[in-house]
Amino acid sequence: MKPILWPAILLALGGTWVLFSILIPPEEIETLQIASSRQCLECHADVAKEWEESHHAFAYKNPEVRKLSQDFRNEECLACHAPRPVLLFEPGTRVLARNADRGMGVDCLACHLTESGNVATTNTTPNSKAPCKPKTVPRLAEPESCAACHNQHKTVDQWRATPPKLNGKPFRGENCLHCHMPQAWRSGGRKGSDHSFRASHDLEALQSAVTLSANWEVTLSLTLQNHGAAHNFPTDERSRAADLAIRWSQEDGSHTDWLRQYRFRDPYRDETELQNTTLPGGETWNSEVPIPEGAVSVQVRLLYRTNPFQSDEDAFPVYELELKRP
Amino acid sequence: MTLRATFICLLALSCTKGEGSSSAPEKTAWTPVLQARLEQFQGQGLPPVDEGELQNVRELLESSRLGGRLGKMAQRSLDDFSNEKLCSILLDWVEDRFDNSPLRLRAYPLLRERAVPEILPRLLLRLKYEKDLSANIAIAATLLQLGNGAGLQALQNILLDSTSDERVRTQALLVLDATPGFESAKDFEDSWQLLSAAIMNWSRFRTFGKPTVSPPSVALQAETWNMIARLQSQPLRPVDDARFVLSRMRGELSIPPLLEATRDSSIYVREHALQTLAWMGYTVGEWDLRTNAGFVQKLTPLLAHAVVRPRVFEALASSGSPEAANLAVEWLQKGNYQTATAAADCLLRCAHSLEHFQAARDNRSQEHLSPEARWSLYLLVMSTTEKVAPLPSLILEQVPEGERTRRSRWSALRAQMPMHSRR
Repeated sequence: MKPILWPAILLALGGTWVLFSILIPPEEIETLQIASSRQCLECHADVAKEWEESHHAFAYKNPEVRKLSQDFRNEECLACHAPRPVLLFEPGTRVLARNADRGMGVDCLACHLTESGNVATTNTTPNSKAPCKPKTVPRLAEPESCAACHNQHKTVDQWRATPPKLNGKPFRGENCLHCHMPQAWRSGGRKGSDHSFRASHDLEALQSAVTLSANWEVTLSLTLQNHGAAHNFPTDERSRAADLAIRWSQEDGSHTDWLRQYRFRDPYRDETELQNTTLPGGETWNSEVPIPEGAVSVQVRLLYRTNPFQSDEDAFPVYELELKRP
Repeated sequence: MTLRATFICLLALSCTKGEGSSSAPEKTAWTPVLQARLEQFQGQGLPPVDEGELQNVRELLESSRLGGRLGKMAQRSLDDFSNEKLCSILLDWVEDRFDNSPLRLRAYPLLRERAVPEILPRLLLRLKYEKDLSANIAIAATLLQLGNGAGLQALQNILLDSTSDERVRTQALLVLDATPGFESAKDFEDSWQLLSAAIMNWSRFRTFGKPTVSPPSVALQAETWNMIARLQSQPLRPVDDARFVLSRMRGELSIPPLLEATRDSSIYVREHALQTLAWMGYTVGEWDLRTNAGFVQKLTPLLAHAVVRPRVFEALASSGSPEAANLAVEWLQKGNYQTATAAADCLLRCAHSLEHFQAARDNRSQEHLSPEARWSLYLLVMSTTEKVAPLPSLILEQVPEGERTRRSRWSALRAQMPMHSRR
């Protein structure tokens, strides 16, 4: 064969390969056009179940939010309670509201939909056969993604200001997922990230954030240490408050009312007479309380309120301690 | 690019059914509109104020109330300030949220006395934050003086509140008595009727007294653009403040700059400008009819940008015009999930013709539409009083109550559609 023909043959073979690769894909996988998070729930039932229990799923339906926003007549609240996909915006900038499926709150697409219509995952080996065509997007795990909503009240800035180590041990995780989306095992032994986003509505999460201790000596010594939340406690919404209160008991069985010793809270903008008393990550709050005469025991409790006017009955008891006179 | 990649791209382009790729309008470029306007009007709004000037006016105002020689001297010193400078100082003062002194509230009557038109945007914002009733009366009175009726509602609320001080209610009535248009009122009943009519007129047409006003001064334009600049803020409060103010200004003052801002290179400026227009409701359509501004034609090119398309439909809905409804019908068919929802909502607020109602009938059962879109179309068909099969309960469950209420409100407001009232 004449050497001059070789390039022609190679070109022909190459052309055929190109045509085949275009016209006959290696495997028929129907690509899903992602329009609504409802499409995700079908294949990802385990994740969906976790998410359905989360406050992300509850973001629109939460009665407290509905009341504060006049059932979303205040449309500015929609931006974070029914957001468009965060990945459509510049990292760290805030999101804007979507028009459909608002009842799903912070839904799957809010975090996972990319600009090109793919589904973003932090998995470095995404399943190429999945109809939603997952694609590794490292940005998904970065604090900037959460900052789109959660930095309106500086939670991510607080996290950045927190020391990476506390008492020589790692304290601040590498991102928000470290604490709020820990590893979860699902049916079939599959590993993933917990989508229930445990935070201030979860007793375990609250207790892992702070520890309350009390000591009866000359005075009653109270200590609250933020050793687990790598941001202020409480954080995010200004309405959130944690109240530390005590109740003394006398020998005859009578006791005082609950006496509030301290309120940890970032006040509303117009509460100009109040200071921000939230407890930064890694810091400890102490107080010495004089012991009244005749007191035989004291109860100490830390109540977490989702709004500062919430009754004690509706508040969340994070810690309840009882000390007797030594 | 390799040959293979080129082939793949071409094939992909030919096969992808883009959102309305066949007849999408030509894209207009985003430009730094806001930046250009801020540069144009730089230094032409209210003069800047320093802490020393503020302190000086505080002391003068306090001294002026003492009477006698000292009081007269203080009053003369206040008189020496230009209206612009004094207004700027007084606005800075009343905006200080850490000053709870009663003296601060005395700044409002002086502001009313020396008001210049360019205080309008910042004074309007005080309606959102000022809690003192007398101060609210002074704000409403000053706004009325400047041709703005946004404070009328505050006056009505004070008159309605049986728990408010009789002295304060009398103050509110005195303001009304001194307002042009209220001279004919013989008694409280008359004043009340006139007030209710004025509020309705303001909320629907954003007009008070004369239907049109002379073109805004350069200083007022500068202050309006300063307010629009807040739309680019990352914290939401300044954005909300700007929307509060801009949606309460007369259409002649706020709609043209907002329309300009919809072309800004910042996604936040253009989205929030569109959102403000949407929040204004049919008053935008009334302004459009009054001024022949071509509101729909001005917004239509923005539909070429997928990223703002739903928000454009929200703003278009405020026109209540058949042209907006035509666009909604088109995009209901070819828009993506979010766009089609906004288009359905727009159709609910703008449908005029049989074709529009037919489009709602044809699409209300389409499964690819969002539950919200189907609810809007259902309400629209219902408004024709024809018998309609109820929506499946599953769809109903997927539309939260707040979203149903929002659409029911739009449906009820159809009676006030601008074109309807003209026909």
